[in-house]
Amino acid sequence: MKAATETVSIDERRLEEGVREAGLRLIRGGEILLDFSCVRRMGPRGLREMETLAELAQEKACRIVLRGVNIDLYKALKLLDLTRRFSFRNEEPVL
Amino acid sequence: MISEAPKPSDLGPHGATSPSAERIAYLEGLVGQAKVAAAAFTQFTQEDVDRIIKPMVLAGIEQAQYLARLAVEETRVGVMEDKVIKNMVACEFVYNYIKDKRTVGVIRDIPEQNLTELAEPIGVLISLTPITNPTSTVLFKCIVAIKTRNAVIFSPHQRAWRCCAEAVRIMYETALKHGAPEGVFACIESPTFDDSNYLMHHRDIGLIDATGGPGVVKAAYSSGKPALGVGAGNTPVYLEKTADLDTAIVDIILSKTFDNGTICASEQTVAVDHEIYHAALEKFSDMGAHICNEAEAALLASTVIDPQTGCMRPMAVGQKAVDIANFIGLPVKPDTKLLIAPIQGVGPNHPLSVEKLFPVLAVYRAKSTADALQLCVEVNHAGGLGHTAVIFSRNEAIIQRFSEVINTGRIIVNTPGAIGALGAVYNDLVPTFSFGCGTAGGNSTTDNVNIYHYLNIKRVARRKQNHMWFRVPNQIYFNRNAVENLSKFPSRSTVIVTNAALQRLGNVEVVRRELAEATHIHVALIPDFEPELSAVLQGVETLKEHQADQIIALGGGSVIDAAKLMKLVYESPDADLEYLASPFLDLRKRVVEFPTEKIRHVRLIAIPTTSGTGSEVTPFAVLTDKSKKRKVSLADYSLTPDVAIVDAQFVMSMPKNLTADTGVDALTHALEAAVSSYSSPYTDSCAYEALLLAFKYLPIAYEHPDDEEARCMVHNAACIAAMAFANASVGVNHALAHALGAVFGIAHGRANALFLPYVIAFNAAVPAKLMPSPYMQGYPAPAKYARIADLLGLGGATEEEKAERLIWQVEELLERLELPRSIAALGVSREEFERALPGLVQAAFDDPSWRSNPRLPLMTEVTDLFRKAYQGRSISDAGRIAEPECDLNEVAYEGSD
Repeated sequence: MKAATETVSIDERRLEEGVREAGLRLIRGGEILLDFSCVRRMGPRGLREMETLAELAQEKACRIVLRGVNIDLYKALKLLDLTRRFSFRNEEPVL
Repeated sequence: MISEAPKPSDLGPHGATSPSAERIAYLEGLVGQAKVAAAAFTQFTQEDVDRIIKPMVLAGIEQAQYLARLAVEETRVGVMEDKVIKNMVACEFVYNYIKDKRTVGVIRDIPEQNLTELAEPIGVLISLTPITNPTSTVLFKCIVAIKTRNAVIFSPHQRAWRCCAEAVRIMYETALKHGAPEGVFACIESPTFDDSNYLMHHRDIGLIDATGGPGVVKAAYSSGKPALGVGAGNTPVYLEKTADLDTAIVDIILSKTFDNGTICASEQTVAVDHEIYHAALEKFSDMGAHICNEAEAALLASTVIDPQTGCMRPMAVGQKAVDIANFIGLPVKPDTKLLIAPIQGVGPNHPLSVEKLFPVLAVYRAKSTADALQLCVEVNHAGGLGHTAVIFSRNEAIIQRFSEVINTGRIIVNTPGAIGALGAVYNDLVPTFSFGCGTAGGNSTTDNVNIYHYLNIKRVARRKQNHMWFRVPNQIYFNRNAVENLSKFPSRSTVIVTNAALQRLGNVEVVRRELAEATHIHVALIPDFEPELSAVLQGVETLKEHQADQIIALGGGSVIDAAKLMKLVYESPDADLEYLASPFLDLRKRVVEFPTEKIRHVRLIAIPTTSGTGSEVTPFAVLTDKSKKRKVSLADYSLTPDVAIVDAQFVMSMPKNLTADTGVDALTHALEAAVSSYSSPYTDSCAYEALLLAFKYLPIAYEHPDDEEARCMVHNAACIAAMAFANASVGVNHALAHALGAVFGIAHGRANALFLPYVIAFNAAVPAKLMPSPYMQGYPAPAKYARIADLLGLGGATEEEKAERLIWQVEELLERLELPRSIAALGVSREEFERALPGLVQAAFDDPSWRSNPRLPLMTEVTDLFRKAYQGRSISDAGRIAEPECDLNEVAYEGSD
């Protein structure tokens, strides 16, 4: 039976912790939705946490959906070749 | 004190080996963190970046002395005090240049070109820095990198890495404190060439910025990565006799001794005019230079220049003059700043003519300006191409000449070379610590490298609405008896250009009557076909003989075209008509220019005697070249007649077939101008009105030649259609007709008629190939044909249907005018046609007319159009699609849309 999608809101003030915590919630074969609507920008540490999260998700065969990712952050993820490792859901384009 | 130092590593690609696994892991770690930093950096705004830069600059200034001392202690090269200045220039002067410049988002808007430039960072750079200017180069590159949102991994010279690492640390910590992304700078510890080589080939490195010797630069460019490689020079200097000698000598000494001559833009060989040679040496000596005698110069050369390589010995780089002198046993004063060695030429036999990054200067006594320039060119080509040259002179012409013959990115005038080339101190060159040396120096730029070389500049090019035009004669008189207006134009001597038939008809007399009695009148008769060059030149002789100040062209298109060309050559005798007929794509961008200088001025009044070509208002003229069996078209608005008189009395006696042929030509002009890629609302209005007039009155004029109103309206229609195509040009129909007419001798209007239905269908369909044109919005032909159909009241629900009805209307008109409906019907056999077809297609494709067609015709499509015209079809073949909703004769001309 497919596990229910859990939603985690990421707070820009504690971004790295938020991403790290999301990693801890990953269940094998499950899906998690990270809401980045409140994140304007991500620094190198946050980006590194995203890399780690992607690796973790791959290990556990989990699907990670990112919501509310603005285009600047999307581009930063793209430069690190991370976009193909996540799914994206934006209700409307975030400029 | 000179000690034998290790040779600078030759960073040529061939000596590289792969670093150890441990070293690779270390390097990968540097790249990984730089890559993440660069990705994070892309999210920064201009304000974020500028907030980081300022404290970095202040930190660099504050630590300038500390870093200078470290550099000298580690490298044993240069002068600490001078390195302080270099460090400060690298911070303060560079900041002053970049502080207000935009490097994020939109960096430049050029509204007049509809262009906007935006900055995109490069990502991760590897920066190779030299031993000669280690900390200043690092400071400079750190500031530029932050300003442009790039991450940098520094790979310093092996003998300078500690001071560089410290400079990087200071910059990094300050940047980090003010918000820069972690990992934005790194400096390789104990760097080796293998490290640099590994990174130069790394897929995550976006740009190599290599400042150093030729080996470094070559390695950078050999890596296959985008690279800025800026390296060695050999600066020639011309000390010209008009120079301010006191200032020049001080400047040269200042520059050549600055940091013990380590700046690669510093002076290397000075060509001194013989008139001031002794005075110059005396002043050098007065200012603390030691002038070597011949033996001393030879000893110096054999010590500081390696006889094997012909290059400077590394041990001398950045050392004091007095230390070099002591090392070789030259008896010099203890405060000697500079060693000056006279040389007699450049090359292997004159070892001191090469680059010397220490205070040794070669001087040459020039016998003349030419001799000095030649010497400087020789030095320039002996390792200094693309880099820097210096001239001291007050003679602007000589400065100009020097600048023309010397190939360097920087030509420094009346300024110390080393500091002048750095920029922003003595001049407005962009401040830098990397001198681009251009392709001659194996570099990709001649610029002083700065922020714009650390950016990808994206250009947003918005569609530009080019200016269009509507140009016709200044004055157009129309309707019956318009010829009376001739009396308004005073003339001392008028030549009436016409043909014999028109003279016989009495038309010349009608014209003559309107001219003042005092006017000398001469009638020049020309043959009644498209003019040949000989006829034109003969006409020019007539104009000259009669000193004409007015030409009246009375006739059809051929006569008016001939008169246009006569006027051109009469006014500008050097005009080469064949040359001026060179093909072009866009009138406003064509290569050939029509003459603008005139030795005479003559007024051209055109009075058409046919209702078709519209030559009286167009800028075109066709010339027949009998020897080459071809026609050439000339086009320029200077050919447009000054006055057009469109008087229907001259067409009343036109024979029926001529009425039909010329009338269809006018109709084709209007139809092609309406859908032309150059069409505009101005030309459209003419084209539409001309079509309304032609469709209504042409059949009447044909069937009732004495109908004055019909004749007058058709005559006006032809002129109005010509105003449209004079500005919008024609299309593929004309290209086909020109080719067919030339091969089979078919009258132009008749040839046009053969293609007209097929060309409308061709243009109304979805094109296989679109015509690139900035003037067109979308593909307008179907809508325009539909508009014409609507104006004619033809009905139809869709654009497709309307185009079909228009084709039907055209076909009906052609039948009514009793025009042949196929090439076959003109007596051309199938075999003859097929034999000619490849040539016809080629000729049509070479014809400039189709270039304004809305649809780009493929050769296969041109072939198909020819075949359709050969076969032809009658209305019954075509099948009537639907009855027009109203009788065309009932469409009110004034009431049209």
